Amino acid sequence: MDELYAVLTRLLMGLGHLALILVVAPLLQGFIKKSKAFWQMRQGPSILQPYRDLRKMMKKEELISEHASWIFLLTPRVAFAATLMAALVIPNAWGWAPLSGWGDLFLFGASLGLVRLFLTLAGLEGAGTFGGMGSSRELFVGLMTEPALLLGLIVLAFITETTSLQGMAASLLNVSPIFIPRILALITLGMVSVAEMGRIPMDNPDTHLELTMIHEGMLLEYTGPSLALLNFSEQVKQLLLLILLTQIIWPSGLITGGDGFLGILWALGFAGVKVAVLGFFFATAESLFVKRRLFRAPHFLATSTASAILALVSLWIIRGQI
Amino acid sequence: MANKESQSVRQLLMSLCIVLAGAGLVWGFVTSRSGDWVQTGLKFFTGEGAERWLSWKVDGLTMFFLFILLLGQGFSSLYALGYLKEYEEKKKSLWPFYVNWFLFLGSMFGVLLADDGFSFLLTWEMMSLFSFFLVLYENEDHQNRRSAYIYLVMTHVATVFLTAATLFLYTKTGSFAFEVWASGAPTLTTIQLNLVFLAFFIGLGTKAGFVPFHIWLPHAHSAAPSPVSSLMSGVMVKVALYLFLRLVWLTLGPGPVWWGWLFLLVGALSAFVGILSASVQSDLKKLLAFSTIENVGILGIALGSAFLARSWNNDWAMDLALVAFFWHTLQHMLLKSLLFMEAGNIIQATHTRNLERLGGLLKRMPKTALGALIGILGITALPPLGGFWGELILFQSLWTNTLNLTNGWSKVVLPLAIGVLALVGGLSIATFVKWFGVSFLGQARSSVTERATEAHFVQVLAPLLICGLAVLSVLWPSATLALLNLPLSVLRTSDVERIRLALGTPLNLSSSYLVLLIFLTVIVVLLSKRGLRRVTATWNCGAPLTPSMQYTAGGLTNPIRVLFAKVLGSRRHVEGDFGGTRYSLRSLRYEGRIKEVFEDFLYRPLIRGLVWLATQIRKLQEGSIHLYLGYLLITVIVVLIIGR
Amino acid sequence: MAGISENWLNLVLLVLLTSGLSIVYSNRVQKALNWWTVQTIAVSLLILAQGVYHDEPEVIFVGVLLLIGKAGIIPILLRRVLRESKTAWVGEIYLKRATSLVVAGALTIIAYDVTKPLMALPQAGFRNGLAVAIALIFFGLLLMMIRKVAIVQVVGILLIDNGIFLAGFFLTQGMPLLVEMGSMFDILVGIVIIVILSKQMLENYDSLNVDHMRSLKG
Repeated sequence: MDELYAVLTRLLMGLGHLALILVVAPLLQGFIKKSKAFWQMRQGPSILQPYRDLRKMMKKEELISEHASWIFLLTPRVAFAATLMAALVIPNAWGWAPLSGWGDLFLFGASLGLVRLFLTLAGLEGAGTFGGMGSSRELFVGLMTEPALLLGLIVLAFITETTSLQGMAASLLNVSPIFIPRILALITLGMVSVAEMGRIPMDNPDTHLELTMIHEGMLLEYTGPSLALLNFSEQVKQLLLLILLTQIIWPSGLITGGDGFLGILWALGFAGVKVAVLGFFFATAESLFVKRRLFRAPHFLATSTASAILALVSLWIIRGQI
Repeated sequence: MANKESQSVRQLLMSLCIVLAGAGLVWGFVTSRSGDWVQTGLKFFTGEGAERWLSWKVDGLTMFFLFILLLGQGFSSLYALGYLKEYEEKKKSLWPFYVNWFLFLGSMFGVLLADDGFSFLLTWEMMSLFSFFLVLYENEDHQNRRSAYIYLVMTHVATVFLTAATLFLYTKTGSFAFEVWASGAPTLTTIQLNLVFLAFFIGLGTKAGFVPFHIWLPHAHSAAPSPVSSLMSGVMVKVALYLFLRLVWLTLGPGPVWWGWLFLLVGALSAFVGILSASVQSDLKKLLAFSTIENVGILGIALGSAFLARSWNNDWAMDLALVAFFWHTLQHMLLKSLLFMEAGNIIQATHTRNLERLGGLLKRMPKTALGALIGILGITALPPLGGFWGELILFQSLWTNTLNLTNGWSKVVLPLAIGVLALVGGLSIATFVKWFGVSFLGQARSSVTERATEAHFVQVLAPLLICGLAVLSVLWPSATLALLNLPLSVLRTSDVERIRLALGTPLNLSSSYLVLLIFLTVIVVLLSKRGLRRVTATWNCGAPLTPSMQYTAGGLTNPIRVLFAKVLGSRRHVEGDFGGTRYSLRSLRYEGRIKEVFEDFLYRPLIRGLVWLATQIRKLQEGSIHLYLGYLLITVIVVLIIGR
Repeated sequence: MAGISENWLNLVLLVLLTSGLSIVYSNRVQKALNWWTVQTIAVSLLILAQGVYHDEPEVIFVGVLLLIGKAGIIPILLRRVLRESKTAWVGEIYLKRATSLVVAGALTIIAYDVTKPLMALPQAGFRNGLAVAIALIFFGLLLMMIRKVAIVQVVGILLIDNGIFLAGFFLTQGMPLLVEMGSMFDILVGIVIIVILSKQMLENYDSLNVDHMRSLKG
């Protein structure tokens, strides 16, 4: 009976974890848009606009290309589900992740990879040029982000001696924030996040210009609920990356019921502030730079990979092992 | 009339194959559950004394690979049952195929069961020979003849090394038996041991497809009829890897640390070169063959990690690496056979292997497409299917290996292998999105696909059965782990139960991941079901959409080709005809070329050197009778001086 | 060193190393100069921190002097020459930027390898500091070897100077004040001479390409 109770608690907590992420993700998007508007000296849409957009698109009629097959309709659903799977391994405001065990840091990148596979397939569905263009570029960028992401996380795993994201977030509490390998790994992950979120200088989320778009290119054929789901999963992914980054910059450790109701609330607020600050930072960075051409992308991602390797080398040097 | 007869012969023979495979699997399943022989081995037809040869043995390690072989045999035969129909319709005699098919399967059994150097070499040569004949089966095409020829030459070079190593060990220990070799290995000097290892490495590595000995593989695997390709890629390559374990791990002993490094580095190189070459291919089957090289590379990394952990006495990392190795072996066998079968279906439907001419096949061949989609999901090392979980365990093994080292640059190199694997993963996504997307999605790029229809029933059934098995292996990981226990109990002595306990977390994760993903997808599908849907044209800025507006196979991975231009040796040649004016383009010719880097820079100079040497030697043989008499005289004098 | 925590020291060293690498990778002289300024500021901050922690006024004095003299005057002087010469690019010969970065990386590894014996020292930061110092000297030499614009070679010398200064700092726990000031004065005078020289060069050849100097050969 106790076992059943434990399983049920776990399940409920997992559902809560997902629900929280789903609720907050559009808010973050609205906030980033607002921050960008601030730097562009405009009023900008309301912070709640992404919710309205999603609701509107969910109700609309869906247009499907005559060349498309069932994969076209399946893709948004699988992409959304896979993004949620990635969400399950990310430690939340209370430092807890529903799915954890050794090796789960690999699951995060791999789940995003699954999204990428389906999206790029869907890009080819419409039989037009734009979709193929988006797919081709996304595959190109994807193959370079993957090593950087994995190496960055691996360095953190070496620092904390665990390959579970939850464990990492907990152990990073005891590591100095100016510990060089940690800073370098953070730089890596920050750059990778920019690429994964499809932001300047890798991709411009606000444009539909065929020469520049990557992510939007693949989505061009989508309308209605499918588009809503794809946008939503993109927002969730953005939130996940920011949570991951904040957990590395300033982890709050594992907070359980023992800390009292106030402690739990405080942790949530603290995490919210951290994510918001980071979101503002990315919005600022995005306002400062321009989008680079595609064949500049390798430089950007090679820098982040190099930073991860440097983090690895410096870790062993500082520990006196090389 | 004759047609009917040959049809029944085909059905009879292939069913026999399937029944034999099924019976073998059942027998193996029943016997492997009981008895200590899994560890010690069960010997049969064994002669007595030190000079024994033609002896055979089954133990857990053999058993695992027998399972692989039997599975491959069963599915490929089932597939061949449908596939061969086409040859019948073309009135091409199938007897050469049948004979070689049976002998090929039989010789692979022989290699797995061999317990001494003599029977190993004998069956090994038979395996090479009969697979060569099978590759040559479609010998109308001169390209296929050339492929088969390259295969024959490479495999013979490999055999030279294997024979040398075998005979050397025979002279040292006075026996062919593997056991005697194992007990004699410690008495060899370091140099002798290393030389024997290198000979085995080159000989077996050629068959396995390690870079730089891989050049035959893409040719041979793509030239062979599809059931043969799936057998060669899925099983024969694994047989070579089995021998690494049998001859190097178990016989030559732990060995120095650099053996592990060699496996790791060659593995990483193979994985990278293999998938990079695959990503820029536009030949349906060659792409798969290059991907086989990649997967062999991943297996090589796993072996390397296991060897390194063994010499560093890191049991936990070694267990993980071995589990990853066997897991990936199983998954790759399943998925690569599957993909070759689907490729075969496409080829039979369209009569072309060129991706640039395909497109939109999903609507014409929906079941083939379903199997292919599951296949690419599995083989790109993405969750939820099997390819990913093996890599996860491999990552963990490399990580543990690194963490437990006290110092040295190895601590940097090992994690970099993880980086290489991640890059390979990214490239393989690109490769298989191209493979699947260009052939099945979009609209037809040429008229060949217009006549395409769904393949014969069994040709659809066999891949889908494999899909089911692949999903089942993830859904029920403890069963897979029970299978992996067979070889593990031979390769290591400590208790196997511990591995099962420790591995429980990620493997339980695998099944829960799969279940959760499907569950979530279903929920999302159900929630977003309402709403209107309308089928319209693709948006194309208002202009009519033509098939040539789609991305081509070459175009899809062109950024990769540009990025790795130096590694691939890619060149492009653009010719524009402006018809006198400067601005209006009349026609454009684009030609992209990929150099076969290893053929050009390694093998051609080698061949040139050999030819040069041969011409030098030919000078001795001028054809003049006087010269020959002179040789005779010199020989007699030399013999007299020596024999004095 | 005892005053500064290990992590902060490493952070400063990282800044030094990255700025060194960035100088090697720069495509414009201006950028290289800016990176060098950042580096020099980091060095002087290191000295200042050392002085403050140990409460040694003369070390603080050296630090301030360094900040004003090297990070202040020299860049201004060089920038003026740069403006007059209208040189923007560093003039890549022999090695392109990416390749030179790889070479620089290899040199860093060598620097770490040759300082391996120092790992036995009680202060772990020593080895790192010395390795970075040697790496900077290597970078300076490399830069002078593979670039053709005279100002970049000056930057190379300055890089070497920073390296030598750091090495001295780590080996002796702060050089005597006199030596310190002497070396700095030395480099300042050197720079002034070079600035005058390059102005001469500009007048004669209208360029800062050192290849023109060959024509001076008898």
